[in-house]
Amino acid sequence: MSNLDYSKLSGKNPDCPSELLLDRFHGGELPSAESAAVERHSAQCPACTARLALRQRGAAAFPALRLDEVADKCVRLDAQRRVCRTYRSSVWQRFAERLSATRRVHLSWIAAAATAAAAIFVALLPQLRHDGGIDGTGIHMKGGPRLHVVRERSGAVAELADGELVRAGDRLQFRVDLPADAEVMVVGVESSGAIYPCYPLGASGSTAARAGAGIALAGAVELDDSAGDEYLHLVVCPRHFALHNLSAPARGAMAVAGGDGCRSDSIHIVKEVP
Amino acid sequence: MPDVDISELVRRYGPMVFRRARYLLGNDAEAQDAVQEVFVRLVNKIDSFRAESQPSTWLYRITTNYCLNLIRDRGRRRELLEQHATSTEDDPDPGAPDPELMALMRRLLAAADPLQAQAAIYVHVDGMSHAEAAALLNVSRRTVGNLLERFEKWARRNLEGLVPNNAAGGSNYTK
Repeated sequence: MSNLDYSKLSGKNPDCPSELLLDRFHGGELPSAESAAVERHSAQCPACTARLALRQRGAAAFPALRLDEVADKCVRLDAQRRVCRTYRSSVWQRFAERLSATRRVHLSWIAAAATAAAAIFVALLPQLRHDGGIDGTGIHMKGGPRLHVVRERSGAVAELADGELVRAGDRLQFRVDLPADAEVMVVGVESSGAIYPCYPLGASGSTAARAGAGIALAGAVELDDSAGDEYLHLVVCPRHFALHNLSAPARGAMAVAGGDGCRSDSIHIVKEVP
Repeated sequence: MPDVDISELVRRYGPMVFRRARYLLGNDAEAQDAVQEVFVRLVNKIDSFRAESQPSTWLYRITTNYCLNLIRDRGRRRELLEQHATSTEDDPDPGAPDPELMALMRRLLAAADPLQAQAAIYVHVDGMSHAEAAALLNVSRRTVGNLLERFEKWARRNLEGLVPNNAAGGSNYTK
């Protein structure tokens, strides 16, 4: 039987600060007592002095690192998210303005109207779902687009059921059933309401896909360690649509601004606390 | 953190993420991809990142998970991981792990239980104390000890077939 000598693996003395501790020291994230201790140690440890010097050189220490490319992509992605956020907040702002204008109306009228609206909503739900205007109750429309989410964890692969528990590090891949050629996008909606693109990964809009069953979409999404409910939506439209056209007006629901003929299918996942 | 300048974050933390990914993956090209992926996740999770008082810790965790997944993918593709080992001559990082041992460690990590693998990286590769690793994994120190014990026991059983011929007689292994 062989043993790996773990003490030689890290290349650091046991009393030297860990990589993370040194990074936090360099980033000014340590409380003063801990910071002083790392500073004292580094002053008398040549190895840690060299480790700190490397951090101070920043990107110059790594010729293969191309930070500009990363920054450009992230700035574009961030701009898309801001547009998306602005769109959502403008919807709420318009709602608040209308509510303010109706303040003089007696509250009971508002309550009655809300109740009636809820009843109509429930009655029309199948039709709305058929139009692709709303989705997310875990019901799949017969003959409609269908999202299958496949989870890979530690080499084991399984298709997720609605409401299934997932955890940080799980990798999700998507398969879709499309009744006709269409523009498609898979997005995730966090519990905060933030929408992020899952397919095409990091994209700002939909991509064309051919009709078929069990079509595997390229790429995979790895779940991070934020816990809570999330919804994954497959959005299918006859024409190209942008990420900022999408909004989540209610829990589990997905709407496409100006998306006539759009349809969607969704799955609810629950991210465990790590 | 009221608002964040993404370019500034990339400039400030990019080298840290690259350095970490580079020594976990042993490969510059994949480390560059890792930097891209990690910062895309940062943008997608910008709200939780804003609330984070320790950005380095947050990025460490995300980078580790990303790299571990990649290592596991490679394992499934049966790549020869030793070929990815970074040459020590051009490695500017004095804190980087021993390349030969790290190549072997990657082969273990590719097949290990994910949580045990994370604990092993934090403690054995990064040189963290059990308390530091416990905080990062959000478990108790005792659990970190148990995870490492289970990892080491499993590694002992699996090392026999993994030790490369040119390393089998090296002083870093005991028979």
